[in-house]
Amino acid sequence: MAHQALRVLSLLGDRVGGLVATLPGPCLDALEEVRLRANRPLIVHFGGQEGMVARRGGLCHHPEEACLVTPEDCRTALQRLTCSSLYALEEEIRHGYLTLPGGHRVGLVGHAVLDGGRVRTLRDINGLNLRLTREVRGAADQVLPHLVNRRGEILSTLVLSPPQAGKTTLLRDLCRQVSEGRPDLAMPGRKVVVVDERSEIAGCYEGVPQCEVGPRTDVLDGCPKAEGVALVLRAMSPEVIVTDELGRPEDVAAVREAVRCGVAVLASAHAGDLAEAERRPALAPLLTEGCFARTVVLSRRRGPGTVERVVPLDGGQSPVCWAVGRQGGVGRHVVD
Amino acid sequence: MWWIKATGALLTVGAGTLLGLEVAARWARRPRRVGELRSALALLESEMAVGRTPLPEAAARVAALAPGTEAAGFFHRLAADLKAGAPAAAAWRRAAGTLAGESDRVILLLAPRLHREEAADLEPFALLGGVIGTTGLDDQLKHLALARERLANREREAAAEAARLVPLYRYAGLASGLLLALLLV
Repeated sequence: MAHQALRVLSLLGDRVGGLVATLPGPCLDALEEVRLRANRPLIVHFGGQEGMVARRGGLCHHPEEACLVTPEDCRTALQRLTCSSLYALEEEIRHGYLTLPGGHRVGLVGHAVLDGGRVRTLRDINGLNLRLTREVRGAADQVLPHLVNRRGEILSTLVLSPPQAGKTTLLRDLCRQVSEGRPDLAMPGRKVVVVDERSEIAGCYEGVPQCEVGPRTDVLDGCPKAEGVALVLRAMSPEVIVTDELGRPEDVAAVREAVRCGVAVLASAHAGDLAEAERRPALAPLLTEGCFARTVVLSRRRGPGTVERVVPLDGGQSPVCWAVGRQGGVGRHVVD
Repeated sequence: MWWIKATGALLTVGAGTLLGLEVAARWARRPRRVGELRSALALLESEMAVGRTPLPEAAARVAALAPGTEAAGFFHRLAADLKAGAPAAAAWRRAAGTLAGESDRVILLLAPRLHREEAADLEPFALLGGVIGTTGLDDQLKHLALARERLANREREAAAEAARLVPLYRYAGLASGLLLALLLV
C-alpha cells in the first residue's frame, strides 16, 4: 500500500507530496486522507488518527512545527491532479471532487460560482482532501451470509453508516463477491451493474474500473443514480444493481422501480443507525415499503468498517449484532 | 590578377543576392508561419470545446494534425512535457523556445526589424502559457479566441508587409552585392 500511496502523493506536488512521503511506513500504510488547506497546517489521517506533517518531514503535534500549506501548493496540486486540464473536468469540479487513477478521490472546496442559484463551478480552490481508496478483500465475508436467502439469491440491502465508516468498501466487496459467486452459500455468480454516480465504488478512471468489482460486473460511471438505474434496467438485464449514497427523492423512485422489476439492489446511505434512516424523508419510504430486506449498520467504533448490526426488514430472522470487527475481521456475533 | 578580382566580385554579388533572397524568403514566410500557429490554436480550441480532451492528449492530437509545421514541433514538445508531469505554464514556455530558435546572427544584423516582428508574432501565442489549462472551458475558449484574433491581425499585417518588402529585398540583395563588388574592385 505504501508504494501505491507514494505514487498518488506525487500528484500533490513535489513539496507537499515529498513531505507526506517522509511519514513513517505504518502511517503511510494506513493513510486515509491528506488535507491541504491554504495557509494552514498540512494534516493527514491514518488508521482513524489525525496528525500534522512537520516542516522537516515526519509527524508533529504542534501547529507551530507543522508545514503550512501555501496557496501556491494548492494551485500546483490542482494542476498536477487535473493534468493542467481544469476545463476538461468542469463537471467533476462542479460536484466538488476528482477521481484519480486507482480510484482515489480528491475533494475540492473554494469559491463557488453560481448560475441560477446552482453551483456552476469552483474557483480559487483553497482546500483539497485526498482520500485514498482502500480495497479490503473479504470486507463482506462476515456480512454476506446474512444477505443471501436459502435459494442462494442476494437480498436487497441498504448499508447505513456515518461518513468514513466503510460503506463504500463494504459495497465494493459485496459487489465483487456477488459477481464472482460464493459456492459455500450456494450462490452462483450474478450479473451485477454498478451505477457509480461519484466513481467511488469501482473507481473508474477513463472508463475502466480501477477497483476489483468482479467478472460479471458492468459499471455505469458518473451517471446520476435515478437515470442510471432506469438505463441499466432497460439495457443490461442486471440481476443485482449496486449504488452508493441514496438520499434524493428521485433515487428512491429509481430503487423502488428496480426492486419491483425483480432486481436486487445493494445500496448505501448516510445514517448513524436504522432509526436515523427512518427519520430521513427520502429513505423512510424505502424502509417501510419493504424495498430492502436487510440493512447493515456500520460505525467507526472499533475502526472503520465496524459492523454494528444486520437488521432484517422482511420479518425473516432476528437482528444480528457484531460486537467486534473491522471489515473482514473475525468477530463474534450475537443474536438479539 | 584580373581573374582573382572577377572571382571576388562574382562571390560578392552572389553572396549579396543569396542574403537578399534569404531575408525576402523570411518576410514571405512570416504570414504563413503566423497562419499555421493560428490554425493550430483553432485545432486546440476544437479539441477542448468538442471533446473536452485533456491538454496532454489535445496537444498530441494537434501535433499529429499539423505535420511538418513549426506548430507541430511546439505541440509535440508540449505534449511530451505535460505527459512527464510538468505544469502547463512551464511546459508551454519550454515548447515556445522551439518556435523562437530560428533567428541567426546574420539575419539579425541585416534585418533587425524582421527579427523584432518575428518575436512579436509569437507574443499572443506565448501569453497563452500563463492561462492554458488553469480555468474553466468558457474562459479557456475566450483566451484562445483572443489569441487567434491577435494572430489573425499579425497575419494580415505580415502579408501586407511581405507584399511590399519581398520584391524589395530580392533586388536589394543583388544591388548591394553589385555595389559592394564595384567598390571593392
